[in-house]
Amino acid sequence: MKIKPSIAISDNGFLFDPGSGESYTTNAVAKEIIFMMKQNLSVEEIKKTLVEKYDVDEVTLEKNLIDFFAMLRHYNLCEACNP
Amino acid sequence: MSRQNIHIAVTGLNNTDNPGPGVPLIRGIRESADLNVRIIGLAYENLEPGIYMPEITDKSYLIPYPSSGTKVFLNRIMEIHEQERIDLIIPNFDAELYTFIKSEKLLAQQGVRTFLPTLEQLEERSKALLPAFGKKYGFKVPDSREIVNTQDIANLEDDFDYPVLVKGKFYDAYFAYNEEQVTSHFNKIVSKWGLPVIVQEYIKGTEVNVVALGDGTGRTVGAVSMRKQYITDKGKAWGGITIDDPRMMEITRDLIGKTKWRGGMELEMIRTSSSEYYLIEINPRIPAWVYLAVGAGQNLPEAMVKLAMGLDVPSMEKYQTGKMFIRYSWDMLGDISQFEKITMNGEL
Repeated sequence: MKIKPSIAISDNGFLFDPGSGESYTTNAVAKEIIFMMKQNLSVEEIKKTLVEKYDVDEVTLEKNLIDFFAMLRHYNLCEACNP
Repeated sequence: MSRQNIHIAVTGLNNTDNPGPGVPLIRGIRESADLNVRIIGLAYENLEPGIYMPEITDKSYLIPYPSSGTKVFLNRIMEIHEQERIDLIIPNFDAELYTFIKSEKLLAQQGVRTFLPTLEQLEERSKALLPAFGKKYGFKVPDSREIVNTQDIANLEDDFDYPVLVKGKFYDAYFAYNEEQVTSHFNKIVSKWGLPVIVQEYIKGTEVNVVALGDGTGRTVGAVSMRKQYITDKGKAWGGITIDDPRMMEITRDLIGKTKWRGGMELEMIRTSSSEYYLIEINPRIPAWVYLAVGAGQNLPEAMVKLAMGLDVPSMEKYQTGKMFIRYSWDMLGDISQFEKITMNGEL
Protein backbone atom coordinates (compact mmCIF):
# COMPACT_ATOMS: atom_id res chain seq x y z
CA MET A 1 0.00 0.00 0.00
CA LYS A 2 1.61 3.22 -1.17
CA ILE A 3 0.35 6.75 -1.32
CA LYS A 4 0.67 8.29 -4.81
CA PRO A 5 4.01 10.11 -5.02
CA SER A 6 2.32 13.22 -6.49
CA ILE A 7 0.13 13.67 -3.40
CA ALA A 8 1.25 16.62 -1.31
CA ILE A 9 0.53 16.79 2.41
CA SER A 10 1.42 19.76 4.56
CA ASP A 11 2.49 19.72 8.21
CA ASN A 12 -1.01 20.69 9.29
CA GLY A 13 -2.57 17.72 7.49
CA PHE A 14 -3.92 19.45 4.37
CA LEU A 15 -3.68 17.04 1.47
CA PHE A 16 -3.74 18.00 -2.22
CA ASP A 17 -4.04 15.68 -5.21
CA PRO A 18 -2.62 17.61 -8.20
CA GLY A 19 -4.04 15.06 -10.64
CA SER A 20 -7.66 15.64 -9.72
CA GLY A 21 -7.44 19.06 -8.08
CA GLU A 22 -9.18 17.66 -4.99
CA SER A 23 -8.05 18.63 -1.52
CA TYR A 24 -8.70 16.90 1.81
CA THR A 25 -8.24 17.59 5.47
CA THR A 26 -6.88 14.86 7.70
CA ASN A 27 -6.84 14.51 11.46
CA ALA A 28 -3.60 14.07 13.39
CA VAL A 29 -3.49 10.27 13.19
CA ALA A 30 -4.39 10.14 9.49
CA LYS A 31 -1.67 12.69 8.79
CA GLU A 32 0.81 10.56 10.70
CA ILE A 33 -0.17 7.44 8.73
CA ILE A 34 0.17 9.25 5.40
CA PHE A 35 3.59 10.60 6.38
CA MET A 36 4.65 7.03 7.23
CA MET A 37 3.27 5.80 3.89
CA LYS A 38 5.24 8.50 2.10
CA GLN A 39 8.37 7.17 3.84
CA ASN A 40 7.52 3.77 2.31
CA LEU A 41 6.85 2.07 5.65
CA SER A 42 4.98 -1.20 5.29
CA VAL A 43 1.52 -1.68 6.77
CA GLU A 44 3.03 -3.88 9.48
CA GLU A 45 5.53 -1.16 10.39
CA ILE A 46 2.77 1.44 10.50
CA LYS A 47 0.70 -0.80 12.79
CA LYS A 48 3.65 -1.39 15.08
CA THR A 49 4.39 2.34 15.37
CA LEU A 50 0.77 3.18 16.16
CA VAL A 51 0.31 0.41 18.73
CA GLU A 52 3.44 1.53 20.54
CA LYS A 53 2.47 5.20 20.47
CA TYR A 54 -1.26 5.08 21.21
CA ASP A 55 -3.48 3.34 23.71
CA VAL A 56 -5.15 1.05 21.20
CA ASP A 57 -5.57 -2.70 20.91
CA GLU A 58 -4.48 -4.43 17.70
CA VAL A 59 -7.97 -5.51 16.66
CA THR A 60 -9.38 -1.97 16.86
CA LEU A 61 -6.35 -0.57 15.07
CA GLU A 62 -6.60 -3.20 12.32
CA LYS A 63 -10.30 -2.40 11.79
CA ASN A 64 -9.65 1.35 11.62
CA LEU A 65 -6.71 0.93 9.26
CA ILE A 66 -8.79 -1.20 6.90
CA ASP A 67 -11.42 1.58 6.84
CA PHE A 68 -8.78 4.23 6.30
CA PHE A 69 -7.09 2.37 3.43
CA ALA A 70 -10.50 1.78 1.86
CA MET A 71 -11.06 5.52 1.97
CA LEU A 72 -7.69 6.19 0.29
CA ARG A 73 -8.64 3.69 -2.42
CA HIS A 74 -12.06 5.31 -2.84
CA TYR A 75 -10.49 8.72 -3.39
CA ASN A 76 -7.88 7.24 -5.70
CA LEU A 77 -5.01 8.46 -3.52
CA CYS A 78 -2.92 5.30 -3.44
CA GLU A 79 -0.84 3.12 -5.70
CA ALA A 80 -0.72 -0.66 -5.23
CA CYS A 81 -3.81 -0.07 -3.18
CA ASN A 82 -4.20 -3.49 -1.61
CA PRO A 83 -2.22 -3.75 1.64
CA MET B 1 13.68 41.87 -27.87
CA SER B 2 12.56 45.45 -28.43
CA ARG B 3 9.15 46.34 -27.07
CA GLN B 4 6.80 46.71 -30.00
CA ASN B 5 3.94 49.16 -29.93
CA ILE B 6 0.93 47.16 -31.03
CA HIS B 7 -2.65 48.38 -31.19
CA ILE B 8 -4.92 45.52 -30.21
CA ALA B 9 -8.72 45.57 -30.39
CA VAL B 10 -10.45 43.18 -28.02
CA THR B 11 -14.10 42.13 -27.58
CA GLY B 12 -15.67 40.21 -24.67
CA LEU B 13 -15.50 42.97 -22.07
CA ASN B 14 -18.66 41.80 -20.31
CA ASN B 15 -17.09 40.97 -16.97
CA THR B 16 -20.41 39.91 -15.48
CA ASP B 17 -21.60 36.69 -13.79
CA ASN B 18 -21.32 35.18 -17.29
CA PRO B 19 -17.91 36.68 -18.05
CA GLY B 20 -16.38 37.17 -21.44
CA PRO B 21 -12.65 36.51 -21.89
CA GLY B 22 -11.74 40.12 -22.82
CA VAL B 23 -10.62 41.44 -19.44
CA PRO B 24 -8.46 38.44 -18.39
CA LEU B 25 -6.98 38.30 -21.88
CA ILE B 26 -6.01 41.99 -21.66
CA ARG B 27 -4.50 41.43 -18.20
CA GLY B 28 -2.27 38.73 -19.69
CA ILE B 29 -1.20 40.90 -22.62
CA ARG B 30 -0.46 43.85 -20.34
CA GLU B 31 1.79 41.66 -18.18
CA SER B 32 4.07 40.93 -21.12
CA ALA B 33 7.61 42.16 -20.68
CA ASP B 34 8.10 42.21 -24.47
CA LEU B 35 5.00 43.94 -25.76
CA ASN B 36 4.06 47.58 -25.57
CA VAL B 37 0.38 47.77 -26.38
CA ARG B 38 -2.54 50.10 -26.78
CA ILE B 39 -5.76 48.25 -26.02
CA ILE B 40 -8.91 49.22 -27.86
CA GLY B 41 -12.04 47.81 -26.27
CA LEU B 42 -14.91 46.84 -28.57
CA ALA B 43 -18.19 46.60 -26.66
CA TYR B 44 -21.68 45.61 -27.74
CA GLU B 45 -23.40 47.14 -24.72
CA ASN B 46 -22.78 50.46 -23.00
CA LEU B 47 -22.60 48.86 -19.54
CA GLU B 48 -19.98 46.20 -20.23
CA PRO B 49 -17.79 46.51 -17.11
CA GLY B 50 -14.49 46.16 -19.00
CA ILE B 51 -14.86 49.56 -20.64
CA TYR B 52 -15.10 51.28 -17.22
CA MET B 53 -12.42 49.26 -15.41
CA PRO B 54 -9.18 51.17 -14.80
CA GLU B 55 -6.05 50.05 -16.70
CA ILE B 56 -7.93 47.60 -18.90
CA THR B 57 -8.67 49.44 -22.16
CA ASP B 58 -7.00 52.64 -23.36
CA LYS B 59 -10.06 53.54 -25.39
CA SER B 60 -13.37 51.78 -25.93
CA TYR B 61 -15.89 51.85 -28.75
CA LEU B 62 -19.40 50.54 -29.15
CA ILE B 63 -19.87 48.20 -32.09
CA PRO B 64 -23.07 46.72 -33.58
CA TYR B 65 -23.87 43.04 -33.08
CA PRO B 66 -22.71 40.83 -35.97
CA SER B 67 -26.39 39.93 -36.46
CA SER B 68 -26.93 43.47 -37.80
CA GLY B 69 -25.11 42.33 -40.95
CA THR B 70 -21.47 41.88 -41.97
CA LYS B 71 -21.36 45.16 -43.91
CA VAL B 72 -22.63 47.27 -41.01
CA PHE B 73 -20.34 45.44 -38.62
CA LEU B 74 -17.21 45.82 -40.75
CA ASN B 75 -17.94 49.46 -41.56
CA ARG B 76 -17.88 50.21 -37.85
CA ILE B 77 -14.63 48.27 -37.39
CA MET B 78 -13.09 50.23 -40.28
CA GLU B 79 -14.27 53.53 -38.77
CA ILE B 80 -12.49 52.62 -35.56
CA HIS B 81 -9.45 51.44 -37.53
CA GLU B 82 -9.18 54.88 -39.17
CA GLN B 83 -8.94 56.45 -35.73
CA GLU B 84 -6.86 53.83 -33.98
CA ARG B 85 -4.72 52.02 -36.60
CA ILE B 86 -5.65 48.58 -35.31
CA ASP B 87 -2.84 46.04 -35.80
CA LEU B 88 -4.69 43.04 -34.41
CA ILE B 89 -8.25 42.12 -33.47
CA ILE B 90 -8.90 39.39 -30.91
CA PRO B 91 -12.59 38.41 -30.97
CA ASN B 92 -13.73 36.56 -27.86
CA PHE B 93 -17.30 35.48 -28.53
CA ASP B 94 -18.27 32.31 -30.37
CA ALA B 95 -21.14 34.20 -32.03
CA GLU B 96 -18.85 36.76 -33.72
CA LEU B 97 -16.15 34.35 -34.90
CA TYR B 98 -17.92 33.42 -38.12
CA THR B 99 -18.03 37.08 -39.20
CA PHE B 100 -14.39 37.68 -38.30
CA ILE B 101 -13.16 34.51 -40.01
CA LYS B 102 -15.13 35.31 -43.16
CA SER B 103 -13.67 38.82 -43.12
CA GLU B 104 -10.09 37.76 -42.39
CA LYS B 105 -8.72 38.60 -45.85
CA LEU B 106 -10.55 41.89 -46.03
CA LEU B 107 -9.23 42.91 -42.64
CA ALA B 108 -5.71 41.81 -43.60
CA GLN B 109 -5.86 44.01 -46.71
CA GLN B 110 -6.49 46.92 -44.37
CA GLY B 111 -3.55 45.95 -42.17
CA VAL B 112 -5.65 44.37 -39.42
CA ARG B 113 -4.40 40.96 -38.34
CA THR B 114 -6.31 38.15 -36.68
CA PHE B 115 -5.22 34.78 -35.30
CA LEU B 116 -8.21 32.54 -35.76
CA PRO B 117 -9.10 29.00 -36.75
CA THR B 118 -10.21 28.38 -40.33
CA LEU B 119 -13.89 28.26 -41.18
CA GLU B 120 -13.62 24.48 -41.62
CA GLN B 121 -12.01 24.11 -38.17
CA LEU B 122 -14.69 26.31 -36.64
CA GLU B 123 -17.55 24.40 -38.17
CA GLU B 124 -16.38 20.83 -37.71
CA ARG B 125 -15.98 21.22 -33.93
CA SER B 126 -19.44 22.79 -33.50
CA LYS B 127 -21.68 21.17 -30.91
CA ALA B 128 -24.00 19.80 -33.58
CA LEU B 129 -21.12 18.10 -35.45
CA LEU B 130 -19.19 16.88 -32.40
CA PRO B 131 -20.02 13.16 -32.93
CA ALA B 132 -18.62 13.34 -36.49
CA PHE B 133 -15.59 15.22 -35.17
CA GLY B 134 -14.98 12.48 -32.58
CA LYS B 135 -15.24 9.79 -35.24
CA LYS B 136 -12.98 11.59 -37.72
CA TYR B 137 -10.16 12.28 -35.26
CA GLY B 138 -10.59 9.36 -32.87
CA PHE B 139 -11.80 11.07 -29.68
CA LYS B 140 -14.50 9.85 -27.34
CA VAL B 141 -17.47 12.20 -27.43
CA PRO B 142 -20.97 11.85 -26.00
CA ASP B 143 -23.75 10.95 -28.40
CA SER B 144 -25.70 14.02 -29.43
CA ARG B 145 -28.46 15.05 -31.75
CA GLU B 146 -29.51 18.28 -33.36
CA ILE B 147 -33.18 19.14 -32.90
CA VAL B 148 -34.97 21.81 -34.86
CA ASN B 149 -38.58 21.38 -33.72
CA THR B 150 -40.53 20.01 -30.77
CA GLN B 151 -41.66 16.95 -32.76
CA ASP B 152 -38.06 15.67 -32.69
CA ILE B 153 -38.19 15.57 -28.90
CA ALA B 154 -40.69 12.71 -28.70
CA ASN B 155 -38.24 10.36 -30.47
CA LEU B 156 -35.35 11.08 -28.14
CA GLU B 157 -36.21 8.24 -25.78
CA ASP B 158 -35.37 5.72 -28.52
CA ASP B 159 -31.70 6.71 -28.44
CA PHE B 160 -31.06 8.49 -25.14
CA ASP B 161 -31.51 7.72 -21.45
CA TYR B 162 -32.55 10.58 -19.24
CA PRO B 163 -31.08 12.85 -17.98
CA VAL B 164 -29.78 14.55 -21.11
CA LEU B 165 -28.18 17.93 -21.65
CA VAL B 166 -30.00 20.47 -23.79
CA LYS B 167 -27.57 23.00 -25.29
CA GLY B 168 -27.72 26.16 -27.37
CA LYS B 169 -25.55 26.31 -30.47
CA PHE B 170 -23.29 28.93 -28.88
CA TYR B 171 -24.13 29.11 -25.17
CA ASP B 172 -26.33 27.67 -22.43
CA ALA B 173 -26.76 24.10 -21.28
CA TYR B 174 -29.51 22.63 -19.13
CA PHE B 175 -30.19 19.21 -17.64
CA ALA B 176 -33.49 17.64 -18.64
CA TYR B 177 -34.93 14.61 -16.84
CA ASN B 178 -37.94 14.06 -19.09
CA GLU B 179 -39.54 15.05 -22.39
CA GLU B 180 -41.40 18.01 -20.87
CA GLN B 181 -38.19 19.50 -19.52
CA VAL B 182 -36.48 19.08 -22.91
CA THR B 183 -39.37 20.99 -24.52
CA SER B 184 -39.20 23.76 -21.95
CA HIS B 185 -35.41 24.16 -22.37
CA PHE B 186 -35.73 23.89 -26.15
CA ASN B 187 -38.16 26.84 -26.24
CA LYS B 188 -36.02 28.91 -23.89
CA ILE B 189 -32.82 28.30 -25.91
CA VAL B 190 -34.46 28.87 -29.32
CA SER B 191 -35.78 32.27 -28.22
CA LYS B 192 -32.27 33.28 -27.14
CA TRP B 193 -29.84 31.63 -29.54
CA GLY B 194 -31.97 30.31 -32.39
CA LEU B 195 -31.79 26.88 -34.00
CA PRO B 196 -30.49 24.24 -33.86
CA VAL B 197 -30.67 23.04 -30.28
CA ILE B 198 -28.40 20.15 -29.34
CA VAL B 199 -29.41 17.27 -27.10
CA GLN B 200 -26.38 15.53 -25.65
CA GLU B 201 -25.95 12.28 -23.74
CA TYR B 202 -25.05 12.88 -20.10
CA ILE B 203 -21.69 11.41 -19.11
CA LYS B 204 -21.21 11.00 -15.39
CA GLY B 205 -17.86 12.16 -14.05
CA THR B 206 -15.76 15.18 -13.19
CA GLU B 207 -15.68 18.13 -15.53
CA VAL B 208 -12.15 19.17 -16.39
CA ASN B 209 -11.06 21.85 -18.84
CA VAL B 210 -8.00 22.79 -20.85
CA VAL B 211 -7.05 26.17 -22.30
CA ALA B 212 -4.68 25.77 -25.22
CA LEU B 213 -3.10 27.64 -28.08
CA GLY B 214 -2.28 26.12 -31.46
CA ASP B 215 -0.03 27.81 -34.00
CA GLY B 216 -1.81 26.43 -37.09
CA THR B 217 0.92 23.93 -38.01
CA GLY B 218 -0.18 21.28 -35.51
CA ARG B 219 2.07 22.53 -32.70
CA THR B 220 0.62 23.13 -29.26
CA VAL B 221 2.23 26.36 -28.12
CA GLY B 222 0.85 26.03 -24.60
CA ALA B 223 -1.85 24.27 -22.62
CA VAL B 224 -3.04 24.38 -19.02
CA SER B 225 -5.66 22.14 -17.43
CA MET B 226 -8.08 23.13 -14.71
CA ARG B 227 -10.84 21.67 -12.58
CA LYS B 228 -13.74 23.89 -11.64
CA GLN B 229 -14.07 24.16 -7.87
CA TYR B 230 -17.10 26.38 -7.67
CA ILE B 231 -19.75 26.60 -10.38
CA THR B 232 -22.44 29.28 -10.67
CA ASP B 233 -26.07 28.57 -11.47
CA LYS B 234 -25.15 29.49 -15.06
CA GLY B 235 -22.58 26.71 -15.08
CA LYS B 236 -19.66 29.13 -15.10
CA ALA B 237 -16.51 28.57 -13.08
CA TRP B 238 -16.36 30.93 -10.09
CA GLY B 239 -13.30 29.18 -8.76
CA GLY B 240 -10.85 26.73 -10.27
CA ILE B 241 -7.50 25.07 -9.74
CA THR B 242 -4.76 23.97 -12.13
CA ILE B 243 -4.22 20.22 -12.20
CA ASP B 244 -1.57 17.89 -13.53
CA ASP B 245 -3.26 15.34 -15.73
CA PRO B 246 -0.91 13.92 -18.40
CA ARG B 247 -3.77 12.23 -20.28
CA MET B 248 -5.57 15.57 -20.75
CA MET B 249 -2.41 17.12 -22.14
CA GLU B 250 -1.96 14.15 -24.46
CA ILE B 251 -5.53 14.52 -25.78
CA THR B 252 -5.01 18.27 -26.26
CA ARG B 253 -1.75 17.88 -28.19
CA ASP B 254 -3.23 15.08 -30.25
CA LEU B 255 -6.28 17.18 -31.14
CA ILE B 256 -4.24 20.27 -32.06
CA GLY B 257 -1.80 18.09 -34.01
CA LYS B 258 -4.55 16.39 -36.01
CA THR B 259 -6.67 19.48 -36.68
CA LYS B 260 -3.75 21.93 -37.06
CA TRP B 261 -5.77 24.29 -34.91
CA ARG B 262 -4.90 27.96 -35.20
CA GLY B 263 -5.70 30.20 -32.24
CA GLY B 264 -6.94 29.79 -28.73
CA MET B 265 -9.29 27.04 -27.66
CA GLU B 266 -10.93 25.54 -24.62
CA LEU B 267 -11.53 21.82 -24.36
CA GLU B 268 -14.27 20.75 -21.98
CA MET B 269 -13.96 17.13 -20.94
CA ILE B 270 -15.57 14.69 -18.55
CA ARG B 271 -13.24 12.34 -16.71
CA THR B 272 -15.20 9.25 -15.66
CA SER B 273 -14.51 7.20 -12.55
CA SER B 274 -12.77 4.63 -14.77
CA SER B 275 -10.45 7.41 -16.08
CA GLU B 276 -12.00 7.64 -19.51
CA TYR B 277 -12.08 11.09 -21.09
CA TYR B 278 -15.00 12.36 -23.13
CA LEU B 279 -14.76 15.60 -25.08
CA ILE B 280 -18.04 17.37 -24.42
CA GLU B 281 -17.29 20.71 -26.04
CA ILE B 282 -14.55 22.48 -28.00
CA ASN B 283 -14.80 26.23 -27.64
CA PRO B 284 -13.00 28.00 -30.49
CA ARG B 285 -11.51 30.81 -28.43
CA ILE B 286 -9.67 31.63 -25.23
CA PRO B 287 -11.93 31.05 -22.19
CA ALA B 288 -12.72 33.58 -19.45
CA TRP B 289 -10.50 31.72 -16.96
CA VAL B 290 -7.35 32.25 -19.07
CA TYR B 291 -5.74 34.46 -16.42
CA LEU B 292 -5.29 31.30 -14.33
CA ALA B 293 -2.98 29.99 -17.07
CA VAL B 294 -1.05 33.29 -17.00
CA GLY B 295 -0.68 33.01 -13.22
CA ALA B 296 0.39 29.38 -13.51
CA GLY B 297 3.25 30.31 -15.83
CA GLN B 298 1.87 30.22 -19.37
CA ASN B 299 0.98 33.65 -20.75
CA LEU B 300 -1.15 32.35 -23.60
CA PRO B 301 -2.64 35.78 -24.50
CA GLU B 302 0.88 37.20 -24.93
CA ALA B 303 1.88 34.15 -26.99
CA MET B 304 -1.19 34.61 -29.19
CA VAL B 305 -0.33 38.26 -29.87
CA LYS B 306 3.25 37.33 -30.74
CA LEU B 307 2.13 34.57 -33.11
CA ALA B 308 -0.34 36.94 -34.78
CA MET B 309 2.46 39.48 -35.25
CA GLY B 310 4.67 36.84 -36.86
CA LEU B 311 7.08 36.45 -33.95
CA ASP B 312 8.61 33.15 -32.84
CA VAL B 313 7.07 31.65 -29.72
CA PRO B 314 8.69 28.59 -28.14
CA SER B 315 6.37 25.87 -26.85
CA MET B 316 5.48 26.08 -23.17
CA GLU B 317 5.45 22.66 -21.54
CA LYS B 318 5.27 23.34 -17.82
CA TYR B 319 2.99 25.21 -15.48
CA GLN B 320 2.38 25.37 -11.77
CA THR B 321 -0.24 22.96 -10.43
CA GLY B 322 -2.40 23.94 -7.46
CA LYS B 323 -2.73 27.53 -8.71
CA MET B 324 -6.24 28.78 -7.99
CA PHE B 325 -8.55 31.52 -9.14
CA ILE B 326 -11.56 32.83 -7.28
CA ARG B 327 -13.82 35.37 -8.96
CA TYR B 328 -15.41 38.10 -6.95
CA SER B 329 -17.83 40.94 -7.44
CA TRP B 330 -16.76 44.49 -6.65
CA ASP B 331 -18.82 47.64 -6.90
CA MET B 332 -16.84 49.92 -9.17
CA LEU B 333 -17.94 53.55 -9.15
CA GLY B 334 -18.35 55.53 -12.33
CA ASP B 335 -19.81 58.82 -13.36
CA ILE B 336 -22.78 59.63 -15.52
CA SER B 337 -20.44 61.55 -17.85
CA GLN B 338 -18.71 58.27 -18.80
CA PHE B 339 -22.05 56.65 -19.51
CA GLU B 340 -23.07 59.72 -21.51
CA LYS B 341 -19.89 59.54 -23.65
CA ILE B 342 -20.25 55.89 -24.54
CA THR B 343 -23.98 56.22 -25.14
CA MET B 344 -23.94 59.43 -27.18
CA ASN B 345 -20.58 59.19 -28.97
CA GLY B 346 -20.13 55.42 -29.03
CA GLU B 347 -16.68 55.77 -27.52
CA LEU B 348 -15.03 56.28 -24.15
